[in-house]
Amino acid sequence: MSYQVLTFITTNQSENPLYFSHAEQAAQRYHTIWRLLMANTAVKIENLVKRYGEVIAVDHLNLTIREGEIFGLLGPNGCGKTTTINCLLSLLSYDKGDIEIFGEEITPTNYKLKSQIGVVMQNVAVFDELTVSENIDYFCGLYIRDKALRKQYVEEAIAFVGLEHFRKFYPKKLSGGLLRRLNIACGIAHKPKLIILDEPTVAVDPQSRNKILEGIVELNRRGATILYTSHYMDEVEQICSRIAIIDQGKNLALGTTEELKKLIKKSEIITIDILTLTEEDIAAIRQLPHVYEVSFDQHKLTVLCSGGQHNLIHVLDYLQKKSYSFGYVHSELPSLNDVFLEITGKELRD
Amino acid sequence: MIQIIFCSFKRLFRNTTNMFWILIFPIILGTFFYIAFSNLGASESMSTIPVAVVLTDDYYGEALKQTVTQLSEGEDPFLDTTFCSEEEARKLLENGDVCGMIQSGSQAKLSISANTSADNIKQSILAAFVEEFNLRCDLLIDTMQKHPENAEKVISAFQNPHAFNEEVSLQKNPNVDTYTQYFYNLLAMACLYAAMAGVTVAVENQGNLSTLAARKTVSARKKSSMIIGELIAATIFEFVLNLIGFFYLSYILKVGVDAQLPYAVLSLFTGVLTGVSLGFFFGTLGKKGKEEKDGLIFAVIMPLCFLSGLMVGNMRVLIDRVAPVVNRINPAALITDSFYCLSIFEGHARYTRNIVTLLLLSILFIGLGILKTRRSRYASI
Amino acid sequence: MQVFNIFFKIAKKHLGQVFIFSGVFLVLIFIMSISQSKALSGDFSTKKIDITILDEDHSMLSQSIQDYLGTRHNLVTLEKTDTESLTDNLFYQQISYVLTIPKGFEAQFLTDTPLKLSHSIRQDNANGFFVNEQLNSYLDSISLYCTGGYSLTDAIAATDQNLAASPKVETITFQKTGNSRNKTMFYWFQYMSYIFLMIFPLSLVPILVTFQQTDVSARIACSALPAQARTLQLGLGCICYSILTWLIFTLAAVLFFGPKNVFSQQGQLCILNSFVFTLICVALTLLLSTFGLKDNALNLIANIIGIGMSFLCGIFVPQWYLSTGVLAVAKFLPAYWYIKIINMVTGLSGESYSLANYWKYIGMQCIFLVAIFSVYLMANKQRKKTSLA
Repeated sequence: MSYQVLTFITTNQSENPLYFSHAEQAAQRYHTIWRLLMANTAVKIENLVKRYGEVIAVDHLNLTIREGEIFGLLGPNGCGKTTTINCLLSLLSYDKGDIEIFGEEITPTNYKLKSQIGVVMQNVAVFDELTVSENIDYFCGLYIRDKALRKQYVEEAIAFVGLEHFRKFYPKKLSGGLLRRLNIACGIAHKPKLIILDEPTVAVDPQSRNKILEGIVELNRRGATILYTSHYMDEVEQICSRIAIIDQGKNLALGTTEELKKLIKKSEIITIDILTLTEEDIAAIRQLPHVYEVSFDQHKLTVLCSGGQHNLIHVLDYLQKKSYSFGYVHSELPSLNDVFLEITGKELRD
Repeated sequence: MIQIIFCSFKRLFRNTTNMFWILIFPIILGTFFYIAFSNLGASESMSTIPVAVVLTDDYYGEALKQTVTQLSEGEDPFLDTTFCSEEEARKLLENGDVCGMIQSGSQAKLSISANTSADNIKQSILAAFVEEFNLRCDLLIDTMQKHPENAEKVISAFQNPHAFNEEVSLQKNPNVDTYTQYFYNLLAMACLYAAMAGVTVAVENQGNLSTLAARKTVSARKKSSMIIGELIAATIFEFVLNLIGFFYLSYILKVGVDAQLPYAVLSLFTGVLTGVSLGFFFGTLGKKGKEEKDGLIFAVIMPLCFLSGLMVGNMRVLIDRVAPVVNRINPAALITDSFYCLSIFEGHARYTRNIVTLLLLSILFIGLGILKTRRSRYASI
Repeated sequence: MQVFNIFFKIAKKHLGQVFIFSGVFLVLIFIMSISQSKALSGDFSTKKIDITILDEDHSMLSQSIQDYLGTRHNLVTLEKTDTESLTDNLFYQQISYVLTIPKGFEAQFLTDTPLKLSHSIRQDNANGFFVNEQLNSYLDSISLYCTGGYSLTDAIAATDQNLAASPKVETITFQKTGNSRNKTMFYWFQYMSYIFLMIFPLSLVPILVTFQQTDVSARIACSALPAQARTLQLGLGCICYSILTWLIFTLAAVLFFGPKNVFSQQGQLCILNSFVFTLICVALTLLLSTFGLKDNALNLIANIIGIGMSFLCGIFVPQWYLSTGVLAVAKFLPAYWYIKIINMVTGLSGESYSLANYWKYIGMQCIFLVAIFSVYLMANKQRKKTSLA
């Protein structure tokens, strides 16, 4: 199915204006899913175990990433994301498990396979003594020997990350965002089939962040498989087709954003500013369809709903019937943080 | 690999602070050495020797008085004589005002103080003088007793001494003196300090020590080719900088380290290569960062230079007596030795042996280092 | 005392490195001291050296020369006597002097054209010079006897007799200060100055640089701690650290040489001297730290200061060998005064000991201490201004 047909279908499927802003994203995702259904496996991690002494950093982790998808690895700091990545890259030894990339076992000397992988590490890894273009040329040169081809790739990489005006700058003179862009350029210049990005937007200004996220989507559109790790759920939600939530080295949940949100009870959170509310009214609101929890504290009514549509209309109808005056009204869908909270009992941002 | 080498060059030459200090190190120290060794001992042997003379009231006393008076006259006299009693002479000796006390008699006797080793050379000169004086006195007395007709001939012969002995130098360059060996040791130390560049190469290629190293490790380039490329660049870089220092010592300070120039330059290059490879090998040991490893390298190089005679000049000779195998494998001693050989020997047998040993050491260090870093996954990063 | 506490916490992190340095330097200082101790024998005697004599003349005169030299030195017979072997043996100090007596030496000795002996020596062995003097003296005496009418045989016999009768050099020992019998100890204190010039920059500067990183420095500057207090606490930390190191080395000296030697009058003077010099090294280190040196640069600069000052001030090459020009320059370096005290206390330099001079030289070192510390304070202020600007 074409991208435009999908967009038309999804737009017209819903009359609720709330869904209208998500339509384009949804269309993109459906398109991606279609592609993915037809795709091969890019990365397969089976039963991965990595211990540091007594501490189990990765605990029987299973992951499969299909070619052509943007796969998100979401979890709090210290959950094992980077350890998994390092094991995947054959940088770290692991105690148990199998790792395959594009059907082949990855080893430190499998240079043919390594040439298809691009890596953007969590910390910026560039040479202070080389300029922006020299850095990209160096790292590209570790994969591409042909000088003319490399030159072309370097130029494309500079244009891709938007560093044309900074090509002769040294890394010390770049801001955090630009440095991250350079870091990315060094990782993707050689046009790899699999790109692994480990928290690439840490300490980055919003403009650079958006640029980075757009760039990642574009790379995927051009055919690269992306493995994206982060503890920022909004980024992962924005760009990833499938997400794995991990904590303490374990894979807690895996699926698309919608699938993950369906895992939890909460499907809508309604917040209304209201001066007073009696206990009876609170009890009555609790009786409304799909409402499973109501609380009223400091002039704020919070209603948690599980499933259903038009929950907000039902609540507002009730309040209007009772002639309550209310102010600010807010309805939001659960976030991945809510998913994480419900699964683990703690905030994603801990 | 060419790309790796050129990138490494760019990085090395752009680190101006580092480059400055590597360049200036042998130049400044060489200058200090040059200043310290200028006119060394000249003041000793050339200066007048103060001496106290105790005379007896006899012919011997008279003869001694005449001799020392003659030697105390004129500009730059040999002796600076004080005639006094024995007690006064002892006092002067105790205070260090004179180097020795000569008492006349049938045999003139020299007394010196045990408390000064500073005046060792002066004391030895005085001893030689007193012995010769006694010999001549006895000779004159014997002649006057047995062949008085020849006494005058003998006295006039006193004034025309013969030289019975001439020096033949077995070494090529007779200008190589005790203190040139300090400059050789300085060059050896400068070469070995190239080890810090080797440490940098090791640390930047060990994936568990820095993100940059991890990034390079996961790339599609063979680690050994990256390492060798960077080592080549580091060696050439250090060699060029040390060569400038070498030329400064040879042509500006003119301390005589440049005997057989092409071979001397080869010694320098081999020394630098050994230094870089030594640093590379030590840099692959353990998980410490660059600073700790630089400290470790320093703790290795200092003893090597010490054993080669940088601080205590005769150390290499002592080691040669006690444990000669140390000098055969100590890179600092080998480098110093190779410079020394070029000045001493006509042939190149010993020189070649030193160079070959250095090359073998370099290959060993680089080989061991690469073995340590290649094909490894790390237990933790 | 927060900065003071943190100083030692950071120092703890670098402890491994410090142990390595200290261990290496302790071993070095021990070997250095031992190697020089033989030079300080009590009796005067021109050293016996190893000599090879190649007698091509095989005459009575040549035999008498061999006998004469044999009484004063060690005659070594070599298997191979070609030039290469001789050079090798000279080079490796198997022998220090090679004498060749040419064929016909005795025959032409008393003619107008006598043959000359030829000798080869190691250039770095001053005793070769004295062998020449002894030999010349001997042959001169024989020649003069012959001039006086003696036969060659009689001349040789008479010369030998006179030499046998010549009195030995008398060595008088004067009691100057409460003597330590162990002379090696003085070399310990002498080389300790070099060790401290190296060890303090290398171990302290990395700790100090941590405090001078812009972020850390800015954060401390924003705190309620006055800048002066911070500087003083840091200085105090350095001083405590250095005193600890000084104590360790002094304790090592006590262990090696015994408390009787180290705490003799001479020993006590040297201990105080070394303490003052330790403080100077700390001040130098503080000054170095203001330049924000790291890694290679620090190592090289420490070497330049340590080795450079050692050679110029008489730590490795005794002061009495250095020319007056060099000594004039060296007077502006603190190590010069330190070594001057050592030389005076031990009497090695010929300068007689006087308490007044001792305090004068200590005073000179204190002036250096104050001067270097003042420069440090100024440089530190300047560095802060530029780094936070």
